[in-house]
Amino acid sequence: MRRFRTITFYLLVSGAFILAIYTASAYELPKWFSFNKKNSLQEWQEKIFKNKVIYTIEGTDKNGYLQARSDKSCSGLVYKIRFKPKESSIMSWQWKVEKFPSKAGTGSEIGGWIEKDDYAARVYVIFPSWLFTSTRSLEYVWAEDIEEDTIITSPYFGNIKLMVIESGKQNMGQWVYEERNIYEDYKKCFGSEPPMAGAIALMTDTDNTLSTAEASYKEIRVGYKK
Amino acid sequence: MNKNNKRKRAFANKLHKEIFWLVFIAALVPAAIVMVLLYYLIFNITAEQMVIPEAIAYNLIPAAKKVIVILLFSAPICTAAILFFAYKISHRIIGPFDRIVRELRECTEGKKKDHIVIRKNDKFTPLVDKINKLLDKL
Repeated sequence: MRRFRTITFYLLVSGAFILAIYTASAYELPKWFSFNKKNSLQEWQEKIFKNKVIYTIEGTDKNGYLQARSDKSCSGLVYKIRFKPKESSIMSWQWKVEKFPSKAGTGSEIGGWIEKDDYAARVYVIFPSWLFTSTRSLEYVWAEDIEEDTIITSPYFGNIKLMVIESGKQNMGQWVYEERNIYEDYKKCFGSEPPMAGAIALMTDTDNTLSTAEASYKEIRVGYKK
Repeated sequence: MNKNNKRKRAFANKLHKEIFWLVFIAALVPAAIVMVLLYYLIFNITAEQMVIPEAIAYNLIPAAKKVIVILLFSAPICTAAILFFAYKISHRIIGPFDRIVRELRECTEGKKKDHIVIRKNDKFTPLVDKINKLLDKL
């Protein structure tokens, strides 16, 4: 009986410890990524899909930013952060596109074409699930040739929705500020309440169009309320 | 064995059936749990590491689908093998057990005076030896 109590006690303590670690990440909100320090990328994980995109920190002090140069490649930077979109719904950032991937000769239809699923700049909010096939993702993209406010289902996976929030070349080479309500955008894209978000990611990719692209990101703020 | 002596029923008695199911479930349930856990853990942990949904969709989901197909084909074969071995094991246990009971009954009824004999590879040999020693003393 005593042994049983001891085992139960240790199990409860272990459970509480695991729960504490699991929930701890939710308390770092709101999270701000300024990219003002040379080692700013240390807290990000690089995930290579097809070849490596060159991500570098440029500028210093208050003018730092993250620059991405993609040459027929696709890799992203991921930051794992757990938050409830209903409680901390706002995410904002600044981005700038210097060069769009070339989509000439890859078809003109919107969506459904893996060959043209490249964007100069993407910002992801990833919603993991207990079953990996149910993982969902909301991607904010700056597209050259798709109208603003278009929602596209990824040609790779139905659980990935791309929202075109910036379009065309008129703001090319300029910093553009974006502020999104993740909760509302998720509902708009998936038609249901969002689950807990598990990560954010940035990507500039050109693996499908086999071209080159350049974009920059800065002042990313995640998980706050207005 | 004579053709006429062959048992027509799959199970000799209720105990035979119970032992068969016990062996079958004892082998099948852990195997199924390990299979499901391995599948879930391998693919979920890999997905957790990949993070980028396109990478999951492009690399992991096709692999997971292939594994599911393999499992769907192999699961009935494995289940049949477990059924076969469960039946064999239950036979190995219940065969000598029935024989001991039958021969003991014959001894107590006075129909049989000599030792209980079981096959070489049957279970319960130490038990039969002890019973034979007891019969000698009686």
